[in-house]
Amino acid sequence: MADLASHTCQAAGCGKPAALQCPTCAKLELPAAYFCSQACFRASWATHKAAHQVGDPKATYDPFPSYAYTGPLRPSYPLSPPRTVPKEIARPDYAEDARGHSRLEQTYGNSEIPLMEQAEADRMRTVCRLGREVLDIAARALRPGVTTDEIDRIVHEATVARKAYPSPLNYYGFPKSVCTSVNEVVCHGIPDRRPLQDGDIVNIDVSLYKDGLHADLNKTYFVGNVDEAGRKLVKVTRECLQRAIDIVKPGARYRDLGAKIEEHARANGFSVVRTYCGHGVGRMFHSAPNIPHYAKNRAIGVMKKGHVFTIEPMINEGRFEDQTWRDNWTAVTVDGKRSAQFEHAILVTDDGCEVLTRRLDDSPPSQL
Amino acid sequence: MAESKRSNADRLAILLDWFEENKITFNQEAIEVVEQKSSKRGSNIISSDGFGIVARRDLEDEEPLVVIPKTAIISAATSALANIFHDEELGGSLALCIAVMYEMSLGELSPWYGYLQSLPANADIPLLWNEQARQWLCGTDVARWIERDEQNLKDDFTSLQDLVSEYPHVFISQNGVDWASHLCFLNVASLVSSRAFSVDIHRGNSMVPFADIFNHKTAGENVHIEIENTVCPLCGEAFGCEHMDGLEEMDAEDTAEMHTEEGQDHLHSDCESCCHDSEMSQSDGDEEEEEDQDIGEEMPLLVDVDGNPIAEDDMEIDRDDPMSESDGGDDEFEDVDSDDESGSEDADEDEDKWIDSLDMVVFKPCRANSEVFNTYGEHGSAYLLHRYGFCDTQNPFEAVSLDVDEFIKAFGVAKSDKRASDIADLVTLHRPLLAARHRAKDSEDEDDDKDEDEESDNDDVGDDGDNDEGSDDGSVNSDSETDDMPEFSIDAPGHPSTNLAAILVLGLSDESVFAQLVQSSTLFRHYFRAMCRFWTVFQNRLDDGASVAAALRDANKETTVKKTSVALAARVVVALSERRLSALGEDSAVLGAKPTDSQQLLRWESAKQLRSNERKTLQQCIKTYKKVVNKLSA
Repeated sequence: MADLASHTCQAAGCGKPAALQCPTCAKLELPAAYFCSQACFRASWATHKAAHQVGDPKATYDPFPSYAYTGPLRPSYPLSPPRTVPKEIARPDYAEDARGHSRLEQTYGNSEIPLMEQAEADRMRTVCRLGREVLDIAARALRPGVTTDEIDRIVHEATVARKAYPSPLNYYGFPKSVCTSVNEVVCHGIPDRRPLQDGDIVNIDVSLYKDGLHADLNKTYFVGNVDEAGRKLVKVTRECLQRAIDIVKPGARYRDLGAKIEEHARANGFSVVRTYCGHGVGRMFHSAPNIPHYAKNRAIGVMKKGHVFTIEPMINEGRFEDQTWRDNWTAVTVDGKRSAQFEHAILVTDDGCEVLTRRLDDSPPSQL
Repeated sequence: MAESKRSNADRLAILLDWFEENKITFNQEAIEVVEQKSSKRGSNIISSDGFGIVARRDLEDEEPLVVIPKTAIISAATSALANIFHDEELGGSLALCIAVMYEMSLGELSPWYGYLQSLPANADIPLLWNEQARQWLCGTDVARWIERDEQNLKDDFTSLQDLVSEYPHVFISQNGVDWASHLCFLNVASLVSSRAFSVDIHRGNSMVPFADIFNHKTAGENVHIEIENTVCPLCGEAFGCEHMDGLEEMDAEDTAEMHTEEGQDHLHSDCESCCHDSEMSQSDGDEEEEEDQDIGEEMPLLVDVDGNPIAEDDMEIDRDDPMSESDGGDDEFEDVDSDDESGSEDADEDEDKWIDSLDMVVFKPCRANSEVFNTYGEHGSAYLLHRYGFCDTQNPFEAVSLDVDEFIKAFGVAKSDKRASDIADLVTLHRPLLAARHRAKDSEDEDDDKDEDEESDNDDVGDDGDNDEGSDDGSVNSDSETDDMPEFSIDAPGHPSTNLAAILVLGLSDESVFAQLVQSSTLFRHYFRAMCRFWTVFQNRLDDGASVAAALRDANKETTVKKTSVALAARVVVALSERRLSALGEDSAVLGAKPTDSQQLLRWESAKQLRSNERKTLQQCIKTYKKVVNKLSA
């Protein structure tokens, strides 16, 4: 039993006797951290919380215990230490920025939709292929018990092995190399210590940067046995994406894609997320055009040969609205019901389009 | 295109439904949109589309009447074709015209169908008049402008044909729009000319549904339009877009760099803001800690040695700590649509979100059952006729243009050819400074320092206090940047515009004085402004009824100008006015008999009115300034 009298407050410059301890340290079975008061604790918090980064996989905690979660999912901290990328691998401009801002993205306007000539489009095709390879590798690792952090490690290593940079890493401060979105998470889930469970649906969103270009794609997968409703959600979402892809050709309007998506979603009793949109992709991770997935939007732009962009509808079982966890990234449905997503990067061709991130000959078979 | 078979009543009903769907709201107990049964004559307005706004009750000053979200407008920058305009470097009125035609060509599939179907087929501006009608405008400003318009129109139409052949998948002739038809293009161009508003620096000239139903009244309007002009030029957002973040970051960096470049001599203590900023941007500590307390791992409440939570009273809470009230424990209910700073788009359905809009607000009270008028700006008759297709009977903002070359020639006559050529150079050099302004504004608006350095072509942002349509030169398809020669005019009730009068005095001065003006821009600017102030006072006093001597005396309190110089300038003013008057020609010769065709008749009457307005203004000027010459030459 701890000797009360011998503890002093850890806060710098305090020195008062301390009878209170940090509960997270206690839970993680770290050496007790004593403070005399909540005020001293607060003053020390910024540095103290670094102590919670521990290696034991079983030691997990919810970093936002007072947050009103909309569904059953909880974050499982601590996150693993930041992963490194070998120096030889070329980085996008935001990789080294303190806040992860992309100067390139900040200087381009709405109506400047980048155009790829033949040579660049060829390189883009190659980079997208690599992206697909990495996604497939991650998909093969999915099974109940595997943590999303483990998926992150696999994606990170597969990316680096291909001499590419994992685009999400440090993008506007995102801490990991892939987004893993489980059940009610709409998008931008941060890989953590939570093991995937039988019955989960999980979206893996892979982006990588090589040769000056970003690839971007995602799929929603079943973990173990998923119920009927979940299967239907995922299947319909995939179909929504396909219906949008089917109208891509020169002269088609970007604002018409959303109508196709929402029409199919509604017909099946689902709703369309409005906050997050498809986007131009290539030299910039996100560029014009901005592509809403809902009907009656006023998106700018008509398609021209050489445009490259993503369509990435997020479809919800319940209400369309989303909100964000206190990590400032993880987007969840407001009603806690599930959300599914699929994404492809698409090149507009002479008379139609080419899906640059389409399945490869050896991609895992579709679960649908 | 407007379907001519549909009745006005039907068009209006569809339009009103469309307003509702697109969240254009208006105070329905205060005003209503009505069909006008016939074009009014004898009053100041002509309704060109059959609709107008009428007050249902007395309207009070500053009452908001209409709110139009910017998403409801049609502009080149927000059009589906925006990327094409960017790639092909098309802008201005031509781009807007094409954007409108494109939406028309989509018929009912266009999100703007309800609005577009309510528009008339065209606006009867002089550019659309036949040869006979154009003859009636001989000698007026409009005649001159139409010549230039024709050329611009030709060029624009050629550009359009090139565009259409470049993008066959985009430009498909359907739903009444024929891309190869010059008439079709002209009709839409006339609608754009007469209805577009300047919205902000991203959207530029745009079609603004509802706002364009208000008819115009000069100097007596009831409403003004209020617009958030400051938006990001790259994406049009009013606040906090990533482009703005980028600019701020770049500014911060530049400041930091400047600081270090100054070298060792630069004392930190002497430069609080600069140093403070660079320290801030380098420090990892404080700023990010602030942010981390809102996001990232939440700080829990301390527990006792056995791991049990403790009662709130036992915790020593520091009362001085501003954070002690909220330690994260009170967020039981998160906002449904919380902001996501990671570059996402906000939901359209969020009612609490501020919507960038154009608002029509009462400027001058209006009586119940009267028509509610907007103003299209403080323009002369020629401008109004040219751009909007109508002509007021009286216009306090009357302006009869004087040809710049004529004006410069006058110096050749009065002084010497060399002088004339020097003046021509000065006028070109100081173009922005010389931009025409109304006398009222001259006396208010003294700080022109920035005019020299900034481009003069952003008239779209609006003049001081003028919250209405952009003041481009009036030509249908050209933007202000193609017509940047300063406008010298004879203004209501009969005075040379102050820039004209100022240049006259300076240009007619002795060689010794003039040489200095040529040499020093600063001196020129200084004297020019001083002259403008002089003439403003002089003209105001004459209008008040003062004698020439009294007016001169008062004006001299502002700036001293010799009697002889004023007299000389006045002489030239008379000469220029007489010349302009004779160029106008006689009505009897030009107008001929009243036409029988109703449309031609309307045109004939507009032309007649314009000629009358120009003549009156010139005659008054001649009269006034002959008197000035007499009084000051005695």
